[in-house]
Amino acid sequence: MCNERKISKFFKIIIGLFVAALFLFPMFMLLLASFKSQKNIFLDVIGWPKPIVLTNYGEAMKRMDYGSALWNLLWITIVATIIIIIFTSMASWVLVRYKTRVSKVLFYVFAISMLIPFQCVMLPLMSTLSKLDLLNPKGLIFAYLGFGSPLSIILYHGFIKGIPAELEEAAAIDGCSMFRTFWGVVFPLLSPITMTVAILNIMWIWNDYLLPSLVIGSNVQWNTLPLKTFFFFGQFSSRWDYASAGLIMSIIPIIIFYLAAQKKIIKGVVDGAIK
Amino acid sequence: MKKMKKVKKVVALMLALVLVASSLTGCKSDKKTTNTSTKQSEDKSGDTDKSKEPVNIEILQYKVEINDQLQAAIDTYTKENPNVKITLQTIGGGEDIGVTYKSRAAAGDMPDIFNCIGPDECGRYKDFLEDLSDQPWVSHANAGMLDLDTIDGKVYGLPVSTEAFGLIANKKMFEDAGVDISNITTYDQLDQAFAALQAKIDDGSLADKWPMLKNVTAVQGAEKWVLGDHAVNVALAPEFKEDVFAAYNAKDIQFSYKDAYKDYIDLQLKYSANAKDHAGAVSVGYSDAVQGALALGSVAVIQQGNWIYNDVNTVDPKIAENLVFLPAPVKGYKEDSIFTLVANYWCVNSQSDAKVKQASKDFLNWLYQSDAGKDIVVNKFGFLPVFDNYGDLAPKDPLSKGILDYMKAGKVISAVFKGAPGADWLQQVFGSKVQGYLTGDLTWDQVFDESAKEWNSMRNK
Amino acid sequence: MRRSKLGFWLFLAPCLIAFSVVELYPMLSGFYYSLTDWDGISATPKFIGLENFKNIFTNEKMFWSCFGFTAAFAICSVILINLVGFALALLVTKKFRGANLLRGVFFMPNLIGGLLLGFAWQFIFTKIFPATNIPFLQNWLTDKETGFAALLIVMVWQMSGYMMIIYIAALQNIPDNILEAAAIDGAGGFRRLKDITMPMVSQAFTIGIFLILSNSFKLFDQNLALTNGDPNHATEMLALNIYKTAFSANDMGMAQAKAIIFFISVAIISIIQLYFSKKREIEA
Repeated sequence: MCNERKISKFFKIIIGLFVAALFLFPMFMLLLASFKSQKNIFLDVIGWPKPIVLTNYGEAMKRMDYGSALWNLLWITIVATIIIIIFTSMASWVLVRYKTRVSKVLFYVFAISMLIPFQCVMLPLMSTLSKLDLLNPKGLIFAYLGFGSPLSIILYHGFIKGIPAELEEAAAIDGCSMFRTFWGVVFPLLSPITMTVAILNIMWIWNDYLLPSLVIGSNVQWNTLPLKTFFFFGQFSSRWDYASAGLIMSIIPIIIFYLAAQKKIIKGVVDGAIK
Repeated sequence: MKKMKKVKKVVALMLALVLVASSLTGCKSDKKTTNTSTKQSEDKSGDTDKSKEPVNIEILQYKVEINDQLQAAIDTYTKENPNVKITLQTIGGGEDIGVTYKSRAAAGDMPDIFNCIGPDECGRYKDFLEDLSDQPWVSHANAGMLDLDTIDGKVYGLPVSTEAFGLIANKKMFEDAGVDISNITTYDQLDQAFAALQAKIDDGSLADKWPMLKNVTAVQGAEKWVLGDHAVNVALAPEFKEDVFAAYNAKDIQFSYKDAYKDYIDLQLKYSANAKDHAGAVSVGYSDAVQGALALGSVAVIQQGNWIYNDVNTVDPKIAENLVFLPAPVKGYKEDSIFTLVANYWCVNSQSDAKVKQASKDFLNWLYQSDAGKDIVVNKFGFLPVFDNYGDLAPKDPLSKGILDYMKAGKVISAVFKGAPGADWLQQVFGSKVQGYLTGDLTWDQVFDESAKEWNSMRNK
Repeated sequence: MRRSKLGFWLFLAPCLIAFSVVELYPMLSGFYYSLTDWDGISATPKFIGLENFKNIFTNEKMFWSCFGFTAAFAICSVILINLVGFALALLVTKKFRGANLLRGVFFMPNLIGGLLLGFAWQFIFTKIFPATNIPFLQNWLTDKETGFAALLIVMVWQMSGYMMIIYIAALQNIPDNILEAAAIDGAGGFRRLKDITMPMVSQAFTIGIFLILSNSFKLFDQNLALTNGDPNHATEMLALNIYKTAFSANDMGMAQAKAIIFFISVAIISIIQLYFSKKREIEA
């Protein structure tokens, strides 16, 4: 019995390691490529780099203007996420607490819009944003609020439904304004789902390419990491040596974030999906 | 009481909104103000001419390959003209520049200088095209160079450069195999030369010098622009007598030179790794063929143009120096020529402010007509001159030199693919169908018949 | 404070405004454009009524073959991703050293954007696979069937870690004593899985199926970067087909009409799926 268990455990570990290797393989290849010369990549793509080239990172960093691109991306991601959290939590709260037909219809409109492919709204979106003078980072964050609303509202909506309304009512009787009731009483209760919303939005915004490439427009000083990474893919050719180093460098911050938040992420995704 | 609270709530929310919004705008305008203030101080110290108001120009282009050099040129220019600020935006690979232009057009926010080539595109962007006929460079343009962007006698674009494509060969390999390729003027000679080289490869006698060499050719079946945009000229150029506008005005296409196209592709397939099973060619892309195969010495010949020089050079400079053009043979028409085309055109946005338009024209004129500009265009960008006043200036790479030789000998065919019904027909229809032939799903006849039908239906829409 | 109308609209306003501007209004104007011959640039599109829709149903064979390809892809990825995700969840909820690390590894592909992911995998399929010289690994992106498989592999690789996380939570919600009691009663591992575990996570299955279904139907980035629809449109999915119609063929009106057909079909499929899943949940 005991032996049998040990054997089965052993097999599980083996299977786990094998699948893990499969999952990590593409990343590993990318990492190897980032230490190869352009010639080496084409000559021997799976082998160990020879010679090991360390300059790809420096060169990629210089060509991408890594520092400022990273800073732009961080700034946009964080501000957009905070704004999404503030406004979608507020919106979801009233959508749940006001049990009217209007709130029901609005909620379904938000939900069903998740099925619209972005490419279909692109051109009308551009002309609207331009009329409102929003083809700039400010407009990008505004657009993130709009595109991020449906999923975030669905998540908050489900969670708030599960919170009893008594506390809020008590606060209201004590004379708190609606605004203070929400921020003082309700919002702190939402922290588990807020984590989920934050994580899902950060992951999405960090990797987004198309929306910033369109909305940032002529504000080139606001180019983000994904936009800069595409500089290594030219009209005809691709600099795989720099591109792979650039890719690794744009993944690193998000991996650090992931490692730091691993437990919360896993919990966050679960809360988001189940509720 | 109730009302008071409501008011309070409104005020609180508005405050929050304003705070957020102002933090956003604040950050953005910070950058802008610093920019303008530095510029103003420069203005004061350097230029006292009050007529020179500050101007901002935006260039939006797609040639990542010249991005750094163009930026350097801009820096040089703006140092001489401190009232001009030029923003260069280059759109990298992965995305089609057309999407960006279209979305900017939809926003009514086209850049001040952009690329637009051929009657099809020019027709679509006509609302944004500034008439450049009065520009000083117009009279210096080489014959035919302005045609593609000339509509009703008005010139709308400055030609970026001349390029050419054909079969590019590593001449050292042929030399080492004892095959003379210096005087090839026919399809059959080409076929024999390839066969001779393939025989040497197969019997192992080149293994010492070229250990990687396995096949004479590689076919880039993954690139619909290689099969469509470029190779299709083998069939189209003779049919339309090398006249883009004849193609542009043709409601129907006969494909009377379809056998020439077929033979041209089959010749390359015959000596490639995919000779028996063509399907494999579909996963051979540009970088596989150029940086992978040609630059590593595992093939000797591919269909490409002079722009590959830099890409080969980053992998193997020695091979890059040995590249030469072989003719792209069009059976029954010209078998000794290569295809020339204008890479693209610089256009000025007619909807920009008058002073921005003027500044944009001045910049383009400086870039292509001043001595400093000519040097940049030829020696930094590596572009072949398209004007008659460049003197002896010419790029030093062997492929560009090769083009000049072919031109001098009159062995060139003008590409006409810009007269086809848009990139959609060239790539999504024709290029895709040639892929269908490679994978064995379509016969050559189906490729041509179906493509001709599409041409007709697109033109009669 | 109770139920003041102003408060309701005030709290909703920022989201609603942003959402209406960037999504609702463009979507509604898309309905209008689907009735025109707009090329995406011209300021004055011509109104042509239902011409575009008529064309899609009579002439656009390619749209329907892309539709079929996409539907088949969605079905396969729903099944595979949920299966793999569930299996991974079963694996890492067993108590052994390294289980937590494995969770992290399986989740990692979610941290990379779709376009970059597509490029990285294209590199693997066209460079690394052939370099192994194993016949089975050659030419993966050169025909419909293997291209389909390649897209599926990428999607499974990316999404199963996400599903795994969802299933882990569901699995951890099953009280241990039920499983133990069943084991004592002599129920084997497979029976415990089938009769206890699976029914207890059925709610998670509902969510998983909906998420994957809508994601696979909307799949664009990976498709563009990995195969770009090649060869000869064999691996072109709906979103990419619409994109090409809009930007390569310059037929924005037609693209919008396709998008509307696409949107309505996905909505119907999702609603049917939710209906049956809910029904099954109740029965279970």
